[in-house]
Amino acid sequence: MPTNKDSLLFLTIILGTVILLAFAFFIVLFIFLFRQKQLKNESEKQALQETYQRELLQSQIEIQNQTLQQIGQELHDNIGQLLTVVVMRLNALADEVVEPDSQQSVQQTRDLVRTVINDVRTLSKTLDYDTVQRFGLLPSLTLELERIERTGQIHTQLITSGEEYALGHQTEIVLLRMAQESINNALKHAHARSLIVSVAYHPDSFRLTVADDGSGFAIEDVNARPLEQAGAGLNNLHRRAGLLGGTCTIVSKPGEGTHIQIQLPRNRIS
Amino acid sequence: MNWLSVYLGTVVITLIIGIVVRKCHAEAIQWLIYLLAYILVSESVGYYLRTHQLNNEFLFYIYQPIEYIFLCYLYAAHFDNGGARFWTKVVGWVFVLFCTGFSIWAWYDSQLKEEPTLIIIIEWILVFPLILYYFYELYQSNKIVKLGKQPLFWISVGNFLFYAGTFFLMGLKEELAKVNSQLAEDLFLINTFLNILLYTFWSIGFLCLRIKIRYFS
Repeated sequence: MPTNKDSLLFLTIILGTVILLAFAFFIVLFIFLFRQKQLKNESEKQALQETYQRELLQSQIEIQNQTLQQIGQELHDNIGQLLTVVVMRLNALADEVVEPDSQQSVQQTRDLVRTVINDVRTLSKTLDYDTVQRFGLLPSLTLELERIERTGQIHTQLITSGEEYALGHQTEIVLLRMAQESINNALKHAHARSLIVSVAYHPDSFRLTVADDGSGFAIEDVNARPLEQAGAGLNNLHRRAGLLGGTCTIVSKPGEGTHIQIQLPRNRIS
Repeated sequence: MNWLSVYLGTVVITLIIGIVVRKCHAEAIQWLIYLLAYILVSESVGYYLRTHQLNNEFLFYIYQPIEYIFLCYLYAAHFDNGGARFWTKVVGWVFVLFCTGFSIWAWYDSQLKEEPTLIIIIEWILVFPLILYYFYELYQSNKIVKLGKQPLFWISVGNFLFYAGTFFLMGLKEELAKVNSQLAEDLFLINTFLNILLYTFWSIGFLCLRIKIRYFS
């Protein structure tokens, strides 16, 4: 027979345990709910940050487009017109000059100026946002590569694969600017002789690759540069690819050229 | 095993940890080091008096208001709400005034030889809103915080379990003493375990900024 003392002790132990467990459960529940709320807060904060970054990129692109468009228009309307006048003056000069040597010289100068006029027109087109918007990424890239090819400094090639699909004007202009930046790097820093741009439309992803046979560089050295020597180009490529919802992979070694690949998953393409 | 020695050892270890890592913490957390030092002195004196068959109940009359005012300032320093900060301090000082008045009355009534149960119970009742409001503010906050790296969170968990446990034990002890006083005394040993638990959590609170905590999402 359990005594009064035993049952009281038993009851006390049970009650005490239940109460302590209840309080411990409260703490565990609090931690669980707090963690859930924190995760929600974190994802909201991240979404806000992404939106902010997108808006920032959008503004940067708009400013860049406006600036490039203005430069393009100035080149087309002002420089282009002046060069046309120069051709007309050269035509007049060709009629006045009688010596065959001088005539040939005027003719060569006139051809040269015509080439410059063509180059300026092509350049103004690739700088013009409306051209990219009207004709799309592939024609704009073709135009850009033709313009570079004409300089005679580098051999270019555009390789496309897959069935072309719409990427959205905003995405296409960002991709074109990224390609232009990569090409510019190949010309300015790598002194490349050959440049291959590949555009691949896969069913689940889009891939743009810019490969050159230039001097290349050690990525870790570039990343380790102090602030005053650090360039923004490579970071910009990564940042822009990230904001488009994709990735940018840069592979390079000294003496082995550079391979830049921008990949966008199809479901993130707007 | 002498659990009282283990308890005092825990206080000493917590105090040492607190002193060693004090620079990692905000000023309000650093105040706990003074409270711990006071607890150590108070408990040691209490232990000495008890073993020499002398009255040590008067220590509670001093200890409870000091402990509560420390806790009030600790929590007030962490509250975001200005009103909550103000009222926490006001309630703290009102409690100190009440304890002073009660002690004067107890001096004339029993020369402070009786345990100040009323002061202890009121303090414990007043501590809970501080802890719960801290949890509430922590939960409501939109800041991204790592819970494991919040010293006051660990200190509050310790306080919460300790005050909840001892509040229950205190009431039970009163009731048990009417039936079996020896059992009531034996059962009060749980209070020592709760004290050990409390200061263990305080130690975690002091150390949490120094140790690596893995988070699972």
